[in-house]
Amino acid sequence: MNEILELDALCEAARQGEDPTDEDRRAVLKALAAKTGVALGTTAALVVDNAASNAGSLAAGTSGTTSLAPAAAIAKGTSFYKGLALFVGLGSASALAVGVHLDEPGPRDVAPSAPSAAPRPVPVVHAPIDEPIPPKAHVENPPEPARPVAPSKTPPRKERTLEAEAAALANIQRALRDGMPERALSLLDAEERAWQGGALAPERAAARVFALCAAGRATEGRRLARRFLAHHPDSPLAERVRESCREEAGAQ
Amino acid sequence: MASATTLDPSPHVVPDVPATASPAPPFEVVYEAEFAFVWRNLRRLGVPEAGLRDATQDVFLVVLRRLPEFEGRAPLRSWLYSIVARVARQHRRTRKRRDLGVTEDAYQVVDRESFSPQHRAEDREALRLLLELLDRLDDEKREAFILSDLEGMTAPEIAQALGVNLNTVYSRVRAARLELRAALAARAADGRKLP
Repeated sequence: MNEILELDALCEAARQGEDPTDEDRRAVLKALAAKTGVALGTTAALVVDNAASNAGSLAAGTSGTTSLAPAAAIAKGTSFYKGLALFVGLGSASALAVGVHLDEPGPRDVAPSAPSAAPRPVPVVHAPIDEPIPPKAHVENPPEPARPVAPSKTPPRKERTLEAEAAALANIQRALRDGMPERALSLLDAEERAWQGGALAPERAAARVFALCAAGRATEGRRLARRFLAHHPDSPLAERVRESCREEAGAQ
Repeated sequence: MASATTLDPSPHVVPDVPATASPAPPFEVVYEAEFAFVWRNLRRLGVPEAGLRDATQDVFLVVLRRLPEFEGRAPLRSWLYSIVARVARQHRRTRKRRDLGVTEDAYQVVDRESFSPQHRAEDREALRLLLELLDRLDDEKREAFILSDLEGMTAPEIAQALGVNLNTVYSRVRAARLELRAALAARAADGRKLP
């Protein structure tokens, strides 16, 4: 550092460390969605993550419980879905109509696949055009045989919604719960091929760790677990990622 | 650095913004493409590390509300920067009210993946020092210097971002460089020690 005395050189060096992390991008996007009542679509490239190759998901790995973070995301995605469609679909004209201080909808216990949940009116979105919104979730990943609570399948959209991402994540978790880690891995691979990053990338990264460990690939699992913990030390999943791999490693 | 040429005050034509620029891009596109721009410039304008997420959110709330009004007469980044600068001033004021001055962690830089592993400590220190130096400039010079020497924007773009004329841009940037170089020289004379 003592060498840096030239202004230009200083500027150049400082530039290296200025960029936000993917966590920053996600956190701000989520906060914005919460504040405006608009589910801001996470496009595929939104959270391009060099750790995205091991994106993975939440929970389900060892216990059957669902973790907090995705549930919140799912609830948000569902209730804000209409707002998203309006915003994305109408562009500039309607964006004005989307107030900035909308009431924040309370958390809801809505699974992404619940078809009975009619789209809830989004509080302060007064967009002039009433675009019909498909009431059900849709999935973009390969069809899965015989699932009891399958989300209805509609053609994939250009923009990936949080809801769709959450539905895909739910499939992965289901495979894990059902003791099919290889299937979970192939779903995760398909997911990564189609969508880099996304709001739930950390959840998928965790799911991949669980799946690898469950499949007996502990070395890989531990490597990705370390990576996960380095990138997402504050994740609600961090503890489970740590434990899951340790258990599996010990079992080997 | 490229800014030396971009700020060359020789007469040059201010390029008209192409007519195709008029429809505002979708919010998601702006968010995706400009998040880092907003983030790093908020920090350069004095928003401390701990307040960056809040400040970035505030900027994008304004973008969300006002994007439809964006007509493409200025480059998007010029328009964005005017919002960034305003939000940064608000956050600095709030901080001052709360802390009665600059606190020790005002220039704190956390470890981020974007630092190259081999130069991590040096880069972090460079950023810390730069932020501290920028904080000595007044708002006007600081805002102009950031756009020219750190963002590499042209003088006409900077003029649009700051709402001032070209000559003002040139003189602010020149003055900022002089002050910063003097500060660096003084630091070197002090035994090259960081405070």
